[in-house]
Amino acid sequence: MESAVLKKNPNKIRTSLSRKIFLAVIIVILSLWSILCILPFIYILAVSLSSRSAVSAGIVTFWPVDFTLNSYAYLLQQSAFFVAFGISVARVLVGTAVCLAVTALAAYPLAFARKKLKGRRFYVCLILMCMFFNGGTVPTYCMIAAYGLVDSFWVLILPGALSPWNLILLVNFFRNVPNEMLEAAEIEGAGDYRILLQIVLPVSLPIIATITLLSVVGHWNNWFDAYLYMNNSSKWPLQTYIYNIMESFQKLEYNMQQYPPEQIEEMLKSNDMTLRSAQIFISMIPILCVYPFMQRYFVQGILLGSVKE
Amino acid sequence: MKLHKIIKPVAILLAALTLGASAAACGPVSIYEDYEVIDPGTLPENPLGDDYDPLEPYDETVTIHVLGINYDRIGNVPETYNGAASGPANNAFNDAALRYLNIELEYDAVLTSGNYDQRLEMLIASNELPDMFVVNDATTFARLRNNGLIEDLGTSFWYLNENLRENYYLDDLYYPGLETCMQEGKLYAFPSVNNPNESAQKLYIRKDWLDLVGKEVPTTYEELIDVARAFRDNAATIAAASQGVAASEIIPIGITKELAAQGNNTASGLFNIFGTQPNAFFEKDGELIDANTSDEMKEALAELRKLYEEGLISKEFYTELDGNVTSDITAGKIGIVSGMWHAASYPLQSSVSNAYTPDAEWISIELPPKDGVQSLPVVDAANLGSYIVVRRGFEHPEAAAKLCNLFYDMFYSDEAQDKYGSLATPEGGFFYSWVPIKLWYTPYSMDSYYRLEEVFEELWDAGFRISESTLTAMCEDNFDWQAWYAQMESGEYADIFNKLWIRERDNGFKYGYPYMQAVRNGKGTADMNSAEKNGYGIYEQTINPKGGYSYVAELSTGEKPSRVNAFYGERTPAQQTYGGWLDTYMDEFFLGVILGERSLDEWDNFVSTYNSNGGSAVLEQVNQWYDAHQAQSEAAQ
Repeated sequence: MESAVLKKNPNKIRTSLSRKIFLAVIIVILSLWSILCILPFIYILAVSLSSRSAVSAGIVTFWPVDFTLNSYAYLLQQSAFFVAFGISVARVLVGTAVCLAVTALAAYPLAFARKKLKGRRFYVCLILMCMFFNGGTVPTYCMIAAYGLVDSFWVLILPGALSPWNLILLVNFFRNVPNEMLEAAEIEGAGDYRILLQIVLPVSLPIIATITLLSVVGHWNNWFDAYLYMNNSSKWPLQTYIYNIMESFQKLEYNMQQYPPEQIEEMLKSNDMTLRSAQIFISMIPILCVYPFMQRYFVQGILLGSVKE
Repeated sequence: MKLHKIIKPVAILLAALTLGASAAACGPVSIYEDYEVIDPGTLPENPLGDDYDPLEPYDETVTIHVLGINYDRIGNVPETYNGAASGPANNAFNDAALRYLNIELEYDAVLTSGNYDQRLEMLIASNELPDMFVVNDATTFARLRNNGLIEDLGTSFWYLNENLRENYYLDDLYYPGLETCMQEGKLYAFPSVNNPNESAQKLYIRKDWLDLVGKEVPTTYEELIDVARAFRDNAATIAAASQGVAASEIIPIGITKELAAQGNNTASGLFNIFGTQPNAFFEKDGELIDANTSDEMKEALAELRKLYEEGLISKEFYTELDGNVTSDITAGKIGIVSGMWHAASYPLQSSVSNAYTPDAEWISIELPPKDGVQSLPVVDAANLGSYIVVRRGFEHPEAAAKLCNLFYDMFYSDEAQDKYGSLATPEGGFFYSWVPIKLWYTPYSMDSYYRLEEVFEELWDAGFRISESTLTAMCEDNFDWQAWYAQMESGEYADIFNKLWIRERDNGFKYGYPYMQAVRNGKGTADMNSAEKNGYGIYEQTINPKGGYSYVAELSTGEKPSRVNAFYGERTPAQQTYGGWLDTYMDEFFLGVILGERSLDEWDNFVSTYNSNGGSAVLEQVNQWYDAHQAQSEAAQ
């Protein structure tokens, strides 16, 4: 058996028994871990495809009981859900574009133009400070209000446009671009913008992909800013919309004491796990689609910047 | 990038802060020594005279900035109003306010019940308060009042209509709630005060399980435990009757881990049977005692420990919240649960409606006597929901009263439709949840209870029965109730039926009568259709002469006794300082005792630690409040 493997692949290093056992254990542990990660998704899917009474009876586990597509059919008629979905998509597209533009523009002078940019260390400190400290919710709110951003779509984009973490990744990556390339470009008469756009960015695709992924996921999953800054729930992105649904379920009991019976009845109806699960599942689909395509750049992007020459 | 250059000063700064904070915490805290009890004083004289019209419009339009809460539309409330999407900022009440009071409501923001409190904090911090708004908690209210951010509503109080003043706020049941918003004759809010007796606990028991194990409805605590043991011992028989439940999952008595909570599914009913309630202050020989360190509490813990040891409460109750227990009730795993008057609607209705437990049937009993001693439900002296407040400096604080009057008129008055036309109907765009400034007229629940009970009895005696074919049709979602009411209003039973208020037809009648008819015809829940089953909650809570609200009514009129948690003042400084730690410490110890990790031999140690870490200070201030309060009420008389 072993010799057959060796013949097929003469370069393969011979694996000892202990190594094989080690690998087997690792694979089992990792498989269990992956299953553990996937189970909640399967559960959500199973609940969303089950009948309401089966769910409230608590007999749904990882396979739908009384299979039905009712909750998805109902969801398709809900305009609020799709408005929120649209806002999320817009936010991801605009937010990621702004994030990339701002981060690249900030990283370029910090990475290369050491001689030209005075007080570079000061700027780096300033930006790093934001990684460790923030102003707190109330002062931040007051500042956002003073800028007139409350209730505006741009409040979802601008305050978090420049992430120090992304910036550090990008600066470190830029530094690995050979100086000779930049010098050659300069000798040919290229200005800073041309060097950034035509030389530096094209060779930095792995890190651009990484930052794009971080930004897309961050924007898609962020619910808190809209929750705090929007004056009207019709301007909420999807995650805020879903957070609110989940939270109103928990608030049920408190409200019961104050409202007339017909509202209690309606609230019980909306206490509908199947519908919630369907919404959660739909909201996960875009991210599930983005990850596999971007993931291969991800590790490469983070690692490439880590070793300096 | 030289990270360490930044990290080092940051680390030093953090270390300094930590040291400073711990140094500050070491010294004795004496902030409670200068605690001054708030004197509520008395309300100002009525400046308006008798011929005041509670709905008198302003001569010139008054614009009021408010906050809306975007509750989901329900029932017949249309999706659009005046051509645009309906919502708090666009509905019939806003139009009615303009037309009948000449008040224009402007919505600074339309929030949700979830982010409202947080957003209000931001508005307070950035000094952007709306003219009128609702505060949901006592701490925020006290902060606004102490910082002079809200207006005195003492004079505005007299602008409320007579029912809201005399039958609500000035009634003995509700006045303590109003009093907590007063300070030296000034009134800083219109609070929403609930009937304190609504938090009284009853026990709810699976009737079909009793039949399965051959037991009678328990009349004493000892019999109750006997029933619980029978549920435990016959778990296999019981589990066989519900789909998807294993014998090992049967829980005789369901409670949550929140030992101090008083809602549905809590341990409150058991604590009350044992003569106590966590975090309550009871009157004894002219002063208040702390229930947490009382002998009754020690005995209660010993009893709960026994129940846990015997497997009569869930082995995992220490992880369970209200929602978990509700799921177990629905699934048919729980046999006995404690709850308030509306427990039949939530959580028990979902058990009765569950197709997988078709036999589920619940009966309620009052807390049974233990060792021959009557068990009293513990109720608060004042039960507050939220506070309507007006921004300091707003020119028309009395407009808050006028808006409350308008809501009252549109919502509670039976002539509302004649007077306001479609503006007061759900179809016309009126949705009570979207009304930004309103008071629930709590005594209505009691009136409504008496009326429904009487009308249902009369209808039954007069021979009114819903036919089988109609009952089948009622199961459909698209059954035309309006047409059916119209036919009742002019038919044979019109005289009796028309005594019901319009709202009661849709709430009480629609659900309650089919169920009552089924019960009186001797039908078990297993044989009922969905229209009949849907009525269980409403019938049990508001119609049944022995149901949930009847108990509240009997407690409110004094026919039945209760035990009052006598402290209802603002949280004292000692409570604010030590309350959090004391709660955690108590919770850990109580849970530890019940689970058997701690022993009751440590009780004296617990009491002394509790008292020396703030318990005594709290009790001292609570008694200070009590003495002052007694003196004030004597002076008022």
